[in-house]
Amino acid sequence: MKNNIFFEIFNMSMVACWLIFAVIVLRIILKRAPKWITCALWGLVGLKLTVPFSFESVLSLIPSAEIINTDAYVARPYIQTGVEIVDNSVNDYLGGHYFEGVTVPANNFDNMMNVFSVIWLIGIIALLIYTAVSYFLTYKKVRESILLKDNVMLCDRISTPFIFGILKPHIYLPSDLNKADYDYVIAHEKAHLSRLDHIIKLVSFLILTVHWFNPLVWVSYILLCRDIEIACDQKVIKALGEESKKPYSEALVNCSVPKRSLAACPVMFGEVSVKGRIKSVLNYKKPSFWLILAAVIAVIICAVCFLTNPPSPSPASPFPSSNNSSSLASSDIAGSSDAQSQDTTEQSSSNISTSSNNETSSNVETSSVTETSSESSSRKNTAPTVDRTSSVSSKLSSQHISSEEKEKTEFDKYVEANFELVPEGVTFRRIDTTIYEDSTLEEMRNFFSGKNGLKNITLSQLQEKYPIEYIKKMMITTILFMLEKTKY
Amino acid sequence: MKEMQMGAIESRFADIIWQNEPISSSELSKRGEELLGWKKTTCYTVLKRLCDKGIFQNQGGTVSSLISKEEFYSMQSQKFVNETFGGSLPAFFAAFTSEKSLSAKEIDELKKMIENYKGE
Repeated sequence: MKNNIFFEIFNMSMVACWLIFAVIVLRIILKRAPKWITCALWGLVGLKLTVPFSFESVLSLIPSAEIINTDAYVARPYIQTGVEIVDNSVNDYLGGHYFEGVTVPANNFDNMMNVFSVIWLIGIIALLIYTAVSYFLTYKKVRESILLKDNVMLCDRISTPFIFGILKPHIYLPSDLNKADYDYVIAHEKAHLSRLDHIIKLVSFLILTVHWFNPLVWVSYILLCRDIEIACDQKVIKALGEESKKPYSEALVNCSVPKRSLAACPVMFGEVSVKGRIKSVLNYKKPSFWLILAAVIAVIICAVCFLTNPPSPSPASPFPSSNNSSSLASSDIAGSSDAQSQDTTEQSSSNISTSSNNETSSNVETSSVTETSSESSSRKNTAPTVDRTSSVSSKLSSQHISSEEKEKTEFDKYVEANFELVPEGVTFRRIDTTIYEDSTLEEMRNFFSGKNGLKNITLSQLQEKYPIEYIKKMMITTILFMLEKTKY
Repeated sequence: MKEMQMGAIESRFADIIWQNEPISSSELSKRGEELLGWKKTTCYTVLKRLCDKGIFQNQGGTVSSLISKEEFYSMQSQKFVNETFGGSLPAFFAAFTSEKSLSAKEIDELKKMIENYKGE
């Protein structure tokens, strides 16, 4: 049982990689579209990773829906990713360790998969333990908080604002947050709550826990988190209007400056993505109807091409294969727990036929063997042997290429006509010149450490940069101290 | 002595102690619940932390302060000036008054703020 679950999940994970690639590309193309559309794309990825069945469609751009054969007993293991180079090299490697004509104990492959399944389970448990521990530690911190209003709490022990709690979520703000930023931070967090982001993130993390072995799923999770933040920023700016852009960006900057140098929070992450968020906030424009329409069409196309699986080859189509390494495989027999003895005898008989290098006869033998097995009809993709599958998949892939080419050209044209493609990480298109740079953060740090030429700054100049409340507080404290000092 | 800092929330709890000391720890946790909505365990955790910092002490279930409130805030001001201006008050005032003198309105505002602060 364990093996089959891991097989299924592994297959689902690998097949989903195609969709993830597509979403990553689309995400760059749809940079100017509202971010909630990108979040919907990640929703498609989530579906692909969790729902075990799928629609089959000829429009599917996925080369192969079953990477590892999920039968319990495979005499000669093979993979079929649909990518010939990968298939050939991996199958050659696997082939090198098995001999034809010898009844290979099917358990070898099985044992290997057993080990992987155990490792997979250990990984899941480790991640769950990590989650439980960090949840508990956070709970301990947010106990020491005081209600501000509604469901907003102030807390000493946290360094960034966040939401905690699933059933009765509360917003927690660090107690040293600038009062001027309160409204914007609270608006942002409330936007998270109304979008149900706290639940979406939890579900996504659980999916990640199951698919932890797939680095692309980690990439998806990280990008999803970033996109959720930007989508919330956009939601707030949309609601509050153009005038809120500057104070909102200031709030973002303030939240990324570590107040206490002893704080263990990873400053790196904050600074890297804050810049991206501020840029998207300042560049935000209300999207036009056509832009949204184009983006939705792109999502639908993506869903049709990558959410669906290619049609599985029908069981009754025997024909010789041109591919040497995979054609010499002996039959794969659908595992049937009752007919185990029957399977072994059938397996050895087809092994003998294969070693005599008579392809046609092995085909015929195999087809009769698989048809007698009771389980074969109930499982899709298990009936065909390797040689059939590779020919079918090559047929399918040629079909796919032509439809893919056709769709790409039309889609490409539309994109080129309406969007400006900018490679991520190389240059950013600046539309608004008032963009906060790293120098602002540097200035603020210098001010706190007294390194700047304070003698030359006037009150009004200071007021331009820092909230008056903060300046007042500083002045009062210093004056009081001076008063105290003169007593002695 | 140098690491004595309190967050805004801890200060609220400390205020309860300063206003009611000497107070039994169980009575304190009741007050904590009334005024801040905290559970007993939370009150004890924060109390222990404040005692470790050397601001309060808990002797046999009775909580009292080692430093008075005024002393504590005076230390904070000194620390702030030391850290921000290298201990130089004249530099601070020079920063505010060099090119532009404080207007009468600003002086009045300042006076009011000091009155409010003292009144707390």
